[in-house]
Amino acid sequence: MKDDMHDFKEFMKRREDASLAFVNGNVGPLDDISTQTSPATIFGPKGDTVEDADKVNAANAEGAKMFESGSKNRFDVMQMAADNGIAYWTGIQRSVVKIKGKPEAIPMDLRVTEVFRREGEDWKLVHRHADPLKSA
Amino acid sequence: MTTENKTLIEEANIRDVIDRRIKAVRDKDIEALLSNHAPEVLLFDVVDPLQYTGVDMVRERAGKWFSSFQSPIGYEVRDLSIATGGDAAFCHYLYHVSGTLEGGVEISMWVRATVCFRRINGKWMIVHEHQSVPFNGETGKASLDLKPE
Repeated sequence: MKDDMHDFKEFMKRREDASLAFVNGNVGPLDDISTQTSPATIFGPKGDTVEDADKVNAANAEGAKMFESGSKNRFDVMQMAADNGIAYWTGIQRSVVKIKGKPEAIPMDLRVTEVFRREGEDWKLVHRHADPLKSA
Repeated sequence: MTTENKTLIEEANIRDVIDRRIKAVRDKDIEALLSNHAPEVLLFDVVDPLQYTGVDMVRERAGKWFSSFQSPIGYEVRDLSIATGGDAAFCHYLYHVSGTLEGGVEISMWVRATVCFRRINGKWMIVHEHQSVPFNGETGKASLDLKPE
């Protein structure tokens, strides 16, 4: 039987890499770690609430198109837990993103909570809640 | 007991925590509100600061929030979704807050919430809450007047 916490910590490297790819315009790695089976949700930073795996993955694909290569990204993890097929992390996602059509890279810091469930041998993202660090 | 039955029972236990939370807010009962908060709880609230760490900080915040209303607090939860593992669980939902603040300002706003739980000494405890309101990228302001579809 796998040690969920150890396994999830290892997985988080892959999760962070997927996020870096995303802000560089490549949704592929994020798609690989996202569930293809509902329920799945995004509470996005602009107020968008997306439900169902198909719509979530379509929204991710559309979102990645905003960005182009040269963006930077890292996670400052504040809490992480995994047990018996459920896992989450929360913290700050710190990015400097290059948006298509904009000359300058833009800082984009988000408060993030993400939840994963085990599907077979893999962890799959099932819920993401993100909002801007300075929202009001 | 089957795995399916265990899952249903644990989901009902989480739902019970949320139901008691709703009652605690409507009653402005701080201790009831915090009865399922872990000592090291981390709160991302809708208002500054960035984070509240520890139940004492959350208690102070809840007290200020409750006392900011001159009217009863309207608190409604919808679209509750729950997932449980062995000793970890989470839920997310939308909630609507309404009432009259001190000074007479009426509020009516929807908030998005994600809540993470750990089972500690046999009891589901909230270890993390993330609450946010939509954000308008054009104006840089929170969008307090949006409603769910």
